[in-house]
Amino acid sequence: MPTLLEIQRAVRRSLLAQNGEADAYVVPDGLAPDARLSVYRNTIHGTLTTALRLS
Amino acid sequence: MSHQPAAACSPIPARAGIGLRFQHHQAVIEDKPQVAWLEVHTENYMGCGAPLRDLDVIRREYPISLHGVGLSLGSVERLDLGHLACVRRVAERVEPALVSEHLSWSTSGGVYLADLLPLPMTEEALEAVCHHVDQTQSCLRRRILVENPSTYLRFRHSTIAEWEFLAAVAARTGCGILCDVNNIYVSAANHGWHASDYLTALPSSAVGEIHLAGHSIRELDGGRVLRIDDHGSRVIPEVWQLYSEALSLFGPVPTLIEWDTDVPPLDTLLDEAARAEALLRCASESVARADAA
Repeated sequence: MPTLLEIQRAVRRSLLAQNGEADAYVVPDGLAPDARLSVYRNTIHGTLTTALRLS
Repeated sequence: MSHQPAAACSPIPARAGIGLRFQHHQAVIEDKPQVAWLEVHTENYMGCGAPLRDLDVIRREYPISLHGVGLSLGSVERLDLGHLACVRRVAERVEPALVSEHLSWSTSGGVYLADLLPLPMTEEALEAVCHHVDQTQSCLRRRILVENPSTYLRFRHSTIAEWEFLAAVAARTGCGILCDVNNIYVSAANHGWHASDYLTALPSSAVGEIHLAGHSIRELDGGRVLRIDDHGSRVIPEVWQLYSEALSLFGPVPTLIEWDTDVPPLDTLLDEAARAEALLRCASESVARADAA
């Protein structure tokens, strides 16, 4: 079983670099793991974009 | 480690409140709308500018709840003590009746990822969350509430159901639970859980607040949908129904209407709060009838 450190590191890299590193840890359940991760990636990008616009 | 709530200026009543956003500050200060309490995002008041000065005024009229989004209770790394100190500074100034955070993580490798990321539901993650909740409660010298997030993925290695994980955090740390009914609905729909079973599994005595919000629906290939918790619309009928179930299980609990995307006029939020208030009144009357019987 991967450690929490390994999972969080892989998710961070997948979110920032879209390198698929976390895919193996995610239950697909009818949807590609990266498509599930992209929900979070979109929120992160949207939040940072809004912060830049308001700064 | 167990913590008793610290004294606050005004307690949060078991009534409906609304999330206070910057665009409504002036209206709240000038018009003093009829709403029982307000909740703000802690991080929005960590600077010492106009928003905090507005909140100094508003808190004289309304009980306030501080809702954090950036503490990253679920990170395997240690808490950001600078951020925790900022939370404490805001709490000391505002003297909120409630302080809450999320069952999620946002920080890895020193990088802040601006979202509430899901945890693998494992014993290791449970220990990390409990350690950070203990640390937060010790620093703030008060009990906090921990909220269930909406999730869009599950990890293969999870061994604990989310509702059991949340109940275990409350049991081990003495924290309360912020039960987000919309999040339960969203996660249940996304993962095939039974939302009612989730509610039933929570320890009712630990539930100190309820959140309600709207969410959006993303249509996927093959006719599947993914529900996204965007706080950008009214509460849907199915979530109101689930809220009624929650009140029958937990009794009347302070309930917040959240709206963060495309924030509407204040009256729309007050209208949603009035609907929650009506259901809370029914729950209070049920309790009174049961006590009298």
